[in-house]
Amino acid sequence: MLTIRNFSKSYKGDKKAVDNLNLTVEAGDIYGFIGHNGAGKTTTLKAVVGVLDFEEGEITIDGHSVKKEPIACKQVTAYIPDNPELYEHLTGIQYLNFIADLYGVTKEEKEERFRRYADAFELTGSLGDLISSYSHGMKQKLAIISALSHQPKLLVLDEPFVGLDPVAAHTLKAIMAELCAKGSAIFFSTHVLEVAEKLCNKIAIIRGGKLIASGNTEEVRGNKSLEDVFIELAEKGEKDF
Amino acid sequence: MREIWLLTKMAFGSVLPLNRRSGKKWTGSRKDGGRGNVVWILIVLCGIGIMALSALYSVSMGMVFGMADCLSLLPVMYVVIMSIMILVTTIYKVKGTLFGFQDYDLVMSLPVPAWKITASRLLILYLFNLMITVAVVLPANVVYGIMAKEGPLYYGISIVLLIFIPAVPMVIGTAVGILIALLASRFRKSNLIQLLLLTLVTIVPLLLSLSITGSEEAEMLAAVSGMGNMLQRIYPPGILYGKAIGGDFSAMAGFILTAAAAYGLFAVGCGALFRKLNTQLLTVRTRSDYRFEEKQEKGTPFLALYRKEFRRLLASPLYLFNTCFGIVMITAAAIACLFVKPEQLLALLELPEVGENMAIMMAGFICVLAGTISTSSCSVSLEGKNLWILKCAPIPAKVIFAAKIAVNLSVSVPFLIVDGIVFALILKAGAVQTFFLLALPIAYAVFTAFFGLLANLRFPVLDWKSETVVVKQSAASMCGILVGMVGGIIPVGLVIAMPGVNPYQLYLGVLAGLILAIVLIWKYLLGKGVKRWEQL
Repeated sequence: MLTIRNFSKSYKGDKKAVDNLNLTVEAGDIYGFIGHNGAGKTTTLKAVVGVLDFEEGEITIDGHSVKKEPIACKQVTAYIPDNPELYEHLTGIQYLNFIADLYGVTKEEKEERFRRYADAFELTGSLGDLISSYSHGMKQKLAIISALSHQPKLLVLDEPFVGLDPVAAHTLKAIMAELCAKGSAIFFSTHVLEVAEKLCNKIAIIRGGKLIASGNTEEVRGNKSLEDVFIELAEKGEKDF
Repeated sequence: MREIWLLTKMAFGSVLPLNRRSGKKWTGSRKDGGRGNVVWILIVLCGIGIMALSALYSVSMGMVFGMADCLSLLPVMYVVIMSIMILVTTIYKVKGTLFGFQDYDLVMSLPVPAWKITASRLLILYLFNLMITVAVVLPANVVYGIMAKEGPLYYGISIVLLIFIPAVPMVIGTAVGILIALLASRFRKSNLIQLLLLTLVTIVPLLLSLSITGSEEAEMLAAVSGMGNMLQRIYPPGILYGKAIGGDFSAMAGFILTAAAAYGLFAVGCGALFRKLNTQLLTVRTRSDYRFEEKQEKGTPFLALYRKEFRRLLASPLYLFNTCFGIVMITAAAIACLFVKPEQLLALLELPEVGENMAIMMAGFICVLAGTISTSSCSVSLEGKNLWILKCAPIPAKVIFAAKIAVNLSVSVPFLIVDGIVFALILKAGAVQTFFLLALPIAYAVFTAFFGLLANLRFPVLDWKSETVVVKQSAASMCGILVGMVGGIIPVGLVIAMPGVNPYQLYLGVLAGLILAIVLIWKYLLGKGVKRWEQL
């Protein structure tokens, strides 16, 4: 579903934020992307969803090149940033309709999906209010609902659990599992190692822009906890870099 | 004082590119530094332009006042006009500068008393108004000084008084702005109510000023002679200013004290209510009672983008008024034409009647204002932190561009058609004249919409904290409006400069040039424009 080959990105002549990254996310995967602050997680995610322009490497989604066929890639992808800045002048329902219309969702699909996911995240009552009145968590929920409205083949999330209440976090985990069971893939960054350990079938660890470990969760952690592996690799990586 | 100054400096930095100049202190990219330089160059050019226009206008007004033997009214008139301008523009600036500014939470959490925060926010308003006052009033004072052969004392006094001119109108404007915002905040559709109230306070003085104009020279002189009383009625401190500038030190002390007292008392009073007022104005009404009863409709991507853009425009009175003020002016002129003789209107606009070609001159006047209607020049920058939404969407950039241009045209073209028909009927225009009354302004509106988008793609500002930065101070908005306005002067300029040439031919040439420019800009947008969008 998602293939990243030799991807590198530098900002304005500085050292590389991401250096020669290779990674493959297959249909049905819940792929956790782990790393410390500034490791290059968000840069990678933004390049995947077409927010960030890049020169080096190749990224393909569902067989389409992000650089050469961006529209085809975006049609099957949904992205939720770590701090979802939404159009504050719109109401929640206006925003959902806006996003669904951009993706060509039919009215029957809209009605079914809006109702289902808004009820699941307990946001239905607030959909008539302006987004400017929403809390951070409510905005996050709205961004998730809008992302799910077109049932993406690839769902890319940046720190999706930050700001969500425990019930919403539980709901999101269930929806992620359900989506993957239907054949979609999920690629998300997180700092919460327990969540990654329990939820993801695959994990990649990035440090200083370089991938230092990747593969099936069981293989990466072996007989240790993911936290121990992460700290061990991070310290080792520090010596290496 | 140190805290007030620090807060002012911080807030000033968020509205002016103080840190964005290519130079030793700027450590960011050369591109960003270059953009900062462009903004500064445009600000300086605007300042020089305003000063030159003010000087030219004061020379012509000074001659009329001299004929009526009341030259001393010239500086007073300027101060009154400036004060009205400050009053009206401050009303728009209150929300976003004094109240509802983006870093309110951060500033209020600092260990600084509320009155000092209020004082710093008022100081920002004051400094902006002072800059405009200097650009407008200083040249007029110099022109008056030369014409009246005043001595060095006059120049000294006028410079001291200059500092105090913005205080009183700014305080009144702020108070009116707060009242409007408070009144509007009581309604669910507060932005719409605020918009209506702001339109009201802008149009009413405009229509009143049109009703007191005469066209004949005798009427003009009579009007000038009676102006002293009128000015006193409109703005009493202006009379103190008139006496002070003539060397009356008690009047000077009175003017300064009035200004200082108004500013001081308002800062203290406002400081006491600062937190309460901000809480009231920042509170967003919620119902939390939505139910899925209404059927959802399927829309096209273009329609979705168009609706989103239109709602964005209507949600911000600052954005709407600054980019669509030309419509208000054209419509006000059309309404005024129903009550005032067209000759009077042309005289007020200082346009020659050119015999039977009154409709042609009016078409030229509309072009100047149509060239200022530029919502597209801010539309990319206003995406700001929301840009990721469009960048992730499976929509080609040209559809996004088309929606932004369509919104611009939706707010200009319908008004231009209705106003053009009103002008054509009143001026008893023939078929060809009616064609130019409609076609030329519409062509300018289309050109401005396209050019505005191009300017914004060239000079985007996405990391803004206040809409004011994008709408009023960005290079793109200044470029969009300046190019449109200066371009709009071309038809009238050609008619005046080439009296021997048939004006219809001149207008036809301008129309052809505009169509060509629009086609070229669209081609640019589809090529380099798309690349620039992708790089944002």
